[in-house]
Amino acid sequence: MFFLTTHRIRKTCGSHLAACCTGALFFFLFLCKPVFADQAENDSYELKAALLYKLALFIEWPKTAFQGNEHSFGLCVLGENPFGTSLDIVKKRSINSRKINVRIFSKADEVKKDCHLIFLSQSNQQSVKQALLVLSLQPILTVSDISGFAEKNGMIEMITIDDRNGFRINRQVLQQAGLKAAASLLQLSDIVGDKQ
Amino acid sequence: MRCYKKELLVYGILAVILWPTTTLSNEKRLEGYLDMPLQDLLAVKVISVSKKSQTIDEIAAAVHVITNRDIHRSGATNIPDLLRMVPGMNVAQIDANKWAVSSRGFNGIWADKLLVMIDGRSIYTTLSGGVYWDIQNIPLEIIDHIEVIRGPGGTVWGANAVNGVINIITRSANDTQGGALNVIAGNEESRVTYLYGNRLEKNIHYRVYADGLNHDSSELTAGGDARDSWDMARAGFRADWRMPGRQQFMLQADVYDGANEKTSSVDSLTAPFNTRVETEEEVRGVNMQGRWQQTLSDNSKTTFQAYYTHDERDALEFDDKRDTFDLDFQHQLKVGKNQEIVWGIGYRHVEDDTRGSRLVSAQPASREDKLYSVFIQDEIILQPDHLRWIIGSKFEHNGYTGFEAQPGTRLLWTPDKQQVVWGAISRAVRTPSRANQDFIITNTFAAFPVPGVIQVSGTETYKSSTLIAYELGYRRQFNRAMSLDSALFYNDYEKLLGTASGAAVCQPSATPPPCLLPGDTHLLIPSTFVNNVSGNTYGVELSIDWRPSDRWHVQTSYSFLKLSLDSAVDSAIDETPEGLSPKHQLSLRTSVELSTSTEMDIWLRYVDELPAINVPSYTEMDLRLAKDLSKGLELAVVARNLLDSSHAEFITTQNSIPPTEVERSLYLQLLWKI
Repeated sequence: MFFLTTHRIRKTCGSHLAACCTGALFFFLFLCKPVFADQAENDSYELKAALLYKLALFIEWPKTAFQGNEHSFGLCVLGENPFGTSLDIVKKRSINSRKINVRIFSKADEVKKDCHLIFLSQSNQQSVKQALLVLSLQPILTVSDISGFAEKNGMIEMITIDDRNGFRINRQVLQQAGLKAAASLLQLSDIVGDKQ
Repeated sequence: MRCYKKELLVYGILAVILWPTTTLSNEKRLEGYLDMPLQDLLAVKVISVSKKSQTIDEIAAAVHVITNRDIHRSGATNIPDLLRMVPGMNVAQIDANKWAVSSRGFNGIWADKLLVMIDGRSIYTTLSGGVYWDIQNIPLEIIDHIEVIRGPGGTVWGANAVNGVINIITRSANDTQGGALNVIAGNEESRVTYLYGNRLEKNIHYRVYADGLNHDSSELTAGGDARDSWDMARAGFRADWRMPGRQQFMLQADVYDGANEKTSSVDSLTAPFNTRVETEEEVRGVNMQGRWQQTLSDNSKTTFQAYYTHDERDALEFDDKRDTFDLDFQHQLKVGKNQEIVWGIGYRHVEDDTRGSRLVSAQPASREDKLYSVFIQDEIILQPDHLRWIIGSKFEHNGYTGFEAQPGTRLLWTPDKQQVVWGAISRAVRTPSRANQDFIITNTFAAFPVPGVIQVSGTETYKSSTLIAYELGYRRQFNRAMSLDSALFYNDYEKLLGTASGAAVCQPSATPPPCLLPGDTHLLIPSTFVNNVSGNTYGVELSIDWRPSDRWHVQTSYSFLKLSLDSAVDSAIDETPEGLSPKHQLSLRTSVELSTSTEMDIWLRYVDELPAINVPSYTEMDLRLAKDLSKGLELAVVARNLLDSSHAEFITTQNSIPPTEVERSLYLQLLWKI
């Protein structure tokens, strides 16, 4: 519609071409329903679900963390679950020969002792500090992709650099909870909050 | 018949890319991830969806963020080319080393209504108010993102942020660790960049880079070599400290040295009066910048910044040495539950040394100016999660016009989580540049009985141009895959640049023409820069971001612009900006992941005609194909401006640059993370 006005000077192929392109564009944008609407976001969480599983393999928990339930590993989510069906697939695997138990909590004080790793989703943005205070009472690995998580005393922040995933680890907080990160994981990550 | 071929080519490509690619089933892919070693998982490419939109939602302005992914996928090799994807930005390449870049109209080689900064350091030249884009060629790999705000930013950023603010933010040293080598080899451009980053101690990261570039000359519209090739060598470093007590310190410096081929003009009273000479323009300079941020508490954060720049540009007709020293302090303070106040003070000292020629000179040749500024802005939450009101102003005292005030107010309404409506009324000011007040430009031409001399001079009484802008915007997130951003504006300008002619007089006798007295050497036709143009502009900007699938991303932007100016003397020349702005512009980018290691990007652009300089409308296309050869090694093939062997984008009336065209080009790029 916009390009049907006549031009005073020589018209190059350009404007007719632009009209066709605009037409094609609007046809595809507004007549074709956007398909796979949620897929783009879901797939980045697919990758994060796999990364959560891997993280658990590189962290050592204190013996007290498994007292009472030697054979299960609690993989928990605080807030809205962004992983969709991905955690159901991760659940089929095991961590250090322990069965994975997936739990979803909406409030930090509801989190039970049988969680060993907890992922704070984006819906926790306004209450990260309070949630971390409550969780610091137990030996739970706190992970999140909320921007600035490591600086706010979260243990592992999932960041994106150059289109690729990375970790930012707050070593101090991790050690204070009695957890230990394998040297090979530390080498691949950005470390903050080092004491010495 | 040429038309047909182009259309078929475009339709063909559109058909191929718009056909959804097959995807693996979710479960199979996740199982694959779970089997990979951690290192390989961290090398898988991520599509970050919401990072951009989260920050934009809170801003009551027409803002567009060019992410580093956009930069990487665009195939662009310089900043002006990147700006073409932003609605409302007018980008036109004049020749191989010069661009006209503006926001919402008034484009030209000395487009002066745009404030451009790198990490908060102003990069426009106080000589003309425009930006020398040839010396802003920092390696694109060190840019984290570019924030483009169309519309006045005077309230926070001060004078010259009349039609827009561009802030190019570079990556912190933490994000560029390790070594990287980027090699570009093409028929128009060759470039080698080496980057290296490391840690000094646990909390100090640094990076250094060295870059060399050579750009070939382009074609004249009339045919023949345009003699506009250029070479630039650059090096720089950046260091970031994270200190205890929530303090961050950043230090960076750059140094550059280069040369452009150009066509200069020599003006004289004897025949042939005005000759074109092929010469070289040499540029060199250094800049240093430091920033100290301290988070005093959860409610209070201060930033202190200082920078120094030294730029030299030597051309046959004019030499310029410019020193700028700037100090800035800013404090962000949360007051109560519902208010956030930002205030700041600044001081800038600019000193220059120029050497002119008969063609162009500055009177006085040397000048020192001080700029004092203070600003305050209050953001008040009238209704939590729904209504926010922002009011503020910047007050400046400068060496050209004295005291200037730039107040503004904005309102942000969030009816629900998916929509944002914002409105703004602001005042912005464009203070005179050195050229407006001090330049004398002479042009001699043959006449009878003595040559005629047109002389345009700046005057001390040249005032600031003012703008009152009314803006309205709407943003909507339709679903996880599609979002829309639109803005409407109406700009009311006063005291814009125009010229006023004086009576022609024979020199040196000072008698009226005809110049028959024996002592007279020329007829002087004087003219001065005056603020006698006013008018208004209005337009619409629209951008849509759509992800039809996980492997396919479509980004489109459209802008409409209409200028109507009035010169007090009804001068056609003064109303030229009307015909220098394109009425319609469209950009369509589509990014496809053909496989986990191959990507394809297509960028289609349409820019409407510029009737004042007889530049027709054009449609162009860039194509980029990239493949990960192995971990950390990426090969890309980029073809630019494919649709025409060459096309014109801009002809400048203010320089002796002959009309030059942008040519079709091809380059190969190897990005190797060592």
